[in-house]
Amino acid sequence: MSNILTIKDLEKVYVTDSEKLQVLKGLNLEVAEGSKIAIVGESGSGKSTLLNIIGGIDNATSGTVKAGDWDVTSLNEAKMSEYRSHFTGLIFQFHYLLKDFSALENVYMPALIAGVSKKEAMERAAQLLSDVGVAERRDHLPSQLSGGERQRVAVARALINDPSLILADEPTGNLDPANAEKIGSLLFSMADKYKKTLILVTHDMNLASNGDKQFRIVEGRLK
Amino acid sequence: MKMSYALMFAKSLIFPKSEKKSIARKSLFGAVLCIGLSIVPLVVVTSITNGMIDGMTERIIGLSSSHIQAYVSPNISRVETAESFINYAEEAGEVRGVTGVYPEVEISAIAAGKNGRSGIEIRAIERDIFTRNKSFANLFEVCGGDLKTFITPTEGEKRAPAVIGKKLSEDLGLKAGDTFRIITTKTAGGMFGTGSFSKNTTVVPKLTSFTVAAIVSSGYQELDQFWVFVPIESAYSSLSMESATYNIMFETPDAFAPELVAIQKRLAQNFGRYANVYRWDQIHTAEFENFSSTKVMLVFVMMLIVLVATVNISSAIVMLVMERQKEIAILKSIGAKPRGITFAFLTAALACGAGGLVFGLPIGIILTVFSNQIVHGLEKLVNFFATMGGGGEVHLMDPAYYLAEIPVEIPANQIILIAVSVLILSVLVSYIPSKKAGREKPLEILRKN
Repeated sequence: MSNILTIKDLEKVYVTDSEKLQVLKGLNLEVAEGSKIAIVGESGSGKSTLLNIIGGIDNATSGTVKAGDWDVTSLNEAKMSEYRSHFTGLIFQFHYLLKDFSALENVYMPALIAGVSKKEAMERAAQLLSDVGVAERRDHLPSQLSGGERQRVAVARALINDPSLILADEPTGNLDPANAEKIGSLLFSMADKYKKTLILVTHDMNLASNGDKQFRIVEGRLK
Repeated sequence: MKMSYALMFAKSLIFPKSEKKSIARKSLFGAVLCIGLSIVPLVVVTSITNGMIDGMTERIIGLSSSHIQAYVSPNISRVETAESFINYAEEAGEVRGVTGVYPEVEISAIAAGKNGRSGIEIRAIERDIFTRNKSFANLFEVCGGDLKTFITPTEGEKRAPAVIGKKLSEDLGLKAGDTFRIITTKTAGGMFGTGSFSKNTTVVPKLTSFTVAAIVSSGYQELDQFWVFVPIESAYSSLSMESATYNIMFETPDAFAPELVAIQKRLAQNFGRYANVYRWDQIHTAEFENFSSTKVMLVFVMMLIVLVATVNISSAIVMLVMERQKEIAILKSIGAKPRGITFAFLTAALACGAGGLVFGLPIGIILTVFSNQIVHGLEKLVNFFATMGGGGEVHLMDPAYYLAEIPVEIPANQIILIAVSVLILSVLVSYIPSKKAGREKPLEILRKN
């Protein structure tokens, strides 16, 4: 199976007024298409930074990230937007749904951004909401949904543009254990159903064990 | 359409479904209010100055100079009698493009009435001008007497009839049917026409009585306060013609058509060296320059007010961007391009400007439509307090300088121009904060939230 993601010598340095903090120190990673990998590590070890760089919402200091046909580290802002829109689906620890839009609107918003017609986007969103089990809550605002429901909507939103890569950053970190388990299972089952590559960053070893491979970030490198 | 999400986002910026107590939103509605209020005086001033200028122009063209005026030499035989002058005018007017010919003799004189004397300008005209000339027929309001007694000569007329301006009738204490005297001057004992006076030359008054047939007002006192219209044959027969000027007014299909220049040239050729021919805009250059510059200054000041009001939109958008940083970051993280975010905020600014127009334009138009009633009402109110304070009568719009009634005319083209300008200004002043919104870094914001 070919690699969908290849990271070489990735470095990330945060520069503040008083110090330089190197979080990633020549990290290398290859991810095969359709695989599900989990990355664990201590707080501040650089797990989320790695995911943000792969997801195109943070920049690497040096090194290369190649995702499919995209050379992520050399994209300008407009191309980066296209990359985020078409290639990746992001799920955060906090749901980050748009507060003034219904669950359905939140799910089809990325499709509209990608240029899909509203009718088609709504149909896709309705199907995904049904898949994640919140079809009956489609017209509710995020404030009217429970934590678990919001995260289900976020999972549906991540899948709407049929991305090649699903990136989940502590998706269960803000949920109670029961809901965390449900969302974890849902995430892997949806990745299976839609044949997506999943990169999961988590503290939860149980959740991580569902992945095909597990990596640990130690001192800015994967082990 | 790729911007449909931006429009949805823009809508949610103005009409959010959650957290309706937003400071930025209050600021946005404040900006709408400011724009609306600033548009009201702009619409009123534009409409009223337009109406005033058009009304004055119409009266100046129609009643004073007509479209083209020829100043005929007083030394030619064709002006020696009323009949020959009328014939000469008709012959001269046989030019393509001329639709009406009105010979007129103008004499400066003094009129004496019950209340005293006043300098006047006699306009000796053909009697039927009040029916034949559309401007005379439409623009003169008869305030007393009957024009028929002027238009149709009655047999055994003791005194020639005269039509006088309303202000003059008030100054001289005259009403229809009254007799008044016109004093012209003539030289005696000299050699008139030679350009020199002998030692024995004296200037003597010539008194002629006229009956007030009608009192008229053009609504523009500046024009008709000195006018006394008398039949041209009476002027020739009973007034001193020594200081007379002989003018011929020519009417054309359209005073504002470029064709007017060509008609002027044809008339000038027809007259040869016996007359100087001018267009109305050449005769009244100073007045129209004055009107135009006054209007430009007024509109400029009002546009400054609108500009200041639109700056409120800019500050409201700045607040909105700060308040909606999280949504901006979420949209960018799911693929929204900077220009999409910028477009959403510019759309909100445009909607804000449009809201101001929806609020301000109808009020401005309603105030314009009722401008006469409002001015009269305010005059009454001011005069009520002025009387209580022992002051004299106050005119908010003195008819000595303006039209007695404001011609209500909504200049559609200029209203559209105002609307488009406000919309463009709303977008322009909001461009920088909107652009900044598009450049927000999603990760930094999401980390903070």
